[in-house]
Amino acid sequence: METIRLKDISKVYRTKEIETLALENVNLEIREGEFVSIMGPSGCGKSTLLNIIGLLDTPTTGVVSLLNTDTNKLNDSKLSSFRNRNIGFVFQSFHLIPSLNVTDNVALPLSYRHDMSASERKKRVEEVLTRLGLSHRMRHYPTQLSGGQCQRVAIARAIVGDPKIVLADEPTGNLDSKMGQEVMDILHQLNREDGRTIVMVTHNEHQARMTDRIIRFFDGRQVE
Amino acid sequence: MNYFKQIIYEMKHQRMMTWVSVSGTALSIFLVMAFFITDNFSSVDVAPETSRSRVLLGEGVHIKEGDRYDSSGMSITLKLAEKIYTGLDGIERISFVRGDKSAEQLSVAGAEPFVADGRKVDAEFWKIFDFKFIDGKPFTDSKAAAAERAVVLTRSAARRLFNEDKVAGRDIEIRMIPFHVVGVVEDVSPLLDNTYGYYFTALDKEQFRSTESDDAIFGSLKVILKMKDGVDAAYIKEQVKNRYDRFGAELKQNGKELIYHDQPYTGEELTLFFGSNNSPDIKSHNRQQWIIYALLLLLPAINLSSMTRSRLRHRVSEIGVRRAFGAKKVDIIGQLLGENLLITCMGGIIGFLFCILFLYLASHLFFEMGGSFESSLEVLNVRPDFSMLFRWQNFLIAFIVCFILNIVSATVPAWRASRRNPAEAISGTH
Repeated sequence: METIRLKDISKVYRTKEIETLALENVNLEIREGEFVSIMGPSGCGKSTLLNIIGLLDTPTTGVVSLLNTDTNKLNDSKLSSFRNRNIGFVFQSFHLIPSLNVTDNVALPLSYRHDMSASERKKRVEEVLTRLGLSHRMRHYPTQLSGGQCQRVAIARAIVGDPKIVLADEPTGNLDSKMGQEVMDILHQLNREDGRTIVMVTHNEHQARMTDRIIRFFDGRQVE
Repeated sequence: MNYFKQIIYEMKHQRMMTWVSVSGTALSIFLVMAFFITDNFSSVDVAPETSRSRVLLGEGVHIKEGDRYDSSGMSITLKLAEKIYTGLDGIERISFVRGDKSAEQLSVAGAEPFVADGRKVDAEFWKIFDFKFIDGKPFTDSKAAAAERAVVLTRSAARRLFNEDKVAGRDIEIRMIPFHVVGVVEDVSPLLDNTYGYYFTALDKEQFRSTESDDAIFGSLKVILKMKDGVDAAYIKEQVKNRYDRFGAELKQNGKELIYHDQPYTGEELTLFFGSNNSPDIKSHNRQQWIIYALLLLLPAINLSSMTRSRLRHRVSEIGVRRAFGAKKVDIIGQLLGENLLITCMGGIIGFLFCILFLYLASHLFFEMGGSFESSLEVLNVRPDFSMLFRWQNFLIAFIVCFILNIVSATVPAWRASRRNPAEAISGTH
C-alpha cells in the first residue's frame, strides 16, 4: 500500500521578473514502512519536494495523496490537523524553539491535540525522551545541548505524536560524522521497529545507500 | 500552555525591545487612566457622597431683558428654589444649602484661632449624604439648630481646636460668636464639592425668607435633590423645565425672559464648567473625550505594533515550525495575542500604579478642588484618599484599555505571521 503518492507534481515560483520551475512533472510512490533517500545537487528541488510531501507548501499542479487522502481537498485547518497527526519533521538546523526547554520542545505537537490530557502528554514525552537517551536533559534549553543532542531532541519531537510519516531534510548536515551516524542509527531504528515511512533528503551517498531506495533529482526532474 | 514561560524567556533575551514595549504601554495606560480618573471623579461614589448618580444640583438662573440686560448667577433665592424644586415627582429628599462656602475664623479658649471653610446646610443635608459621625449626631431640626447655633465639626477642626476628636457638647466661637458643637464627622476631601467643609452650621429657611424681597431671583441658595432609586434624571429635568416655563411666562409680563439651561445638573454635567448662562453640552464633551481616548490609545498602539512586528521577526522560523507540527492559523494568532497581552498587562500595571501615585502626589494639578481653600491653608495639602483612586472600576477600565491596546497593536502582526507560508517561514525567507 502506498503511503505517499505524488501525481504530475510541478512547482513554479513566480516573481514579477522571472518564473522558476522548481519541480517538473514528478510522479512518485512510496510504500508504507519504506525508508527512501532523495538525492541531487543543490537547487534541484529536493527540499521543495519534501515541503510538498509535508504539506508545508502546495504544488502548482498535480495531486498529493498521503495515507489514501487527497490532500488537495483539505483546507488550511484540516491540513494542520493532518500534519499534526501523521507527519513528523526533522530539519538540518534542528529548528528547536530556543525559549522552550527540551520537554516543552518535544511536547510541541501534542500541545495542538486538544483530545489529550496534560498527564498523557507528559507521559508520552518522557517515554520518547527516555527512548532517545535524553531523560537527563529534560529541563535543559537548546543552547545548553550539543548538536547531536539537539537533533535527537528534534527527532523526539518528530515522533512524539506517533506519525506514520517522518520527513528528514538533511538531518546530519550540521553534525560531525560520529553524531551523524548516531542520528542515522536512530532513524533506521524508527523505520525498522516502528514501521514508520521515512523520506530523507541527503547529500551523503553513504547514508543514502543504507536506505531502501534512492530517488535522484536534477533540475527539478526525477532522473532515477 | 507554556506561553507564560516562553514570554518571560523572550523578555529576558530581548531586553531592549521588552523595555521599550513595557514602558510604552505603561506610558499609554498612565495617560489614559489619568485622564479617565480625573474625568470621572465627579461621578464615582465616595463617602460621604455615596449616591452621586442619584443626586442632582438645582442652581443657576439666567434672565434676559431685551438687548440691554443679561444677567445670570449660580445661586438663587429660597422662594425661587421652592417654586422650582419642591414637590417634584421622583424626588426622595430635597436639601437647601448656601451656595457658597464662607471662610470664617474658628476659635476656642486656649487654642490658636484659624480661618476655615464653613457650610450652611439644613437638616435634610445629613440624610442625603453619608457622613460618618465620630461623635455626637447631626441636627434634625434646622430651625432649632440655627436658634441654638449648632455646629458640626470635622475631625481636623475638632483636633485643631481641642486636640481631640470627641468634642460634642463643647462650645466654640465662629467669628467671635458662640456656637455649640453637636457632632464631629470624618474629614471630607475638598474634591467633593457638594459636601466639603471644615465645619457645618444650620440653615434656617425662615431667616432667608424674611430677608428676600418678593421679586428677587438671584439669591444665595442651591438645592440638592436626591432622586428615588431607579428614577431618570431626564424625568426630573422635564418637570423642572415645565416649572421654568411657567415661571418664565410670569416674568415675561414684566418684559423679562427666563432662560432654562437644563437644570438640575448631574455630577457629570457639573464638571463641564459651563457657567450660569450656558447649558452643559454632555454630547460634545463626550465626543471630545472619545477622541482624546482614541488618540491616547492609537498613537502608542502604532508604536507597539511596530515593536511587536520587530519581535516577531526574530521568531519567523518558530512560527513556521509550529505550523509544521500542527498549529492552525488561529492557534498562532491566539498565542501571539496572549503573549502580547502579558506584556501590555505588565506595562498596564506599572502605568496604572504610577498614575495612582502621580494623581495622589500631584493632585492639585489634576483635580478641581471646589471652595475657598485659601481660608485654611492646610487644606491645600489635602490629597484624594487612596480609596478614591484605587477603585475596582479603575482596575477594570485599566484592564480593558490594556486589552484594547493589545488587540490594536498585535492583531495585524499576529494575523500576518499566521498567514506566512510554513515552508518559507521555517527557512527564514521573508
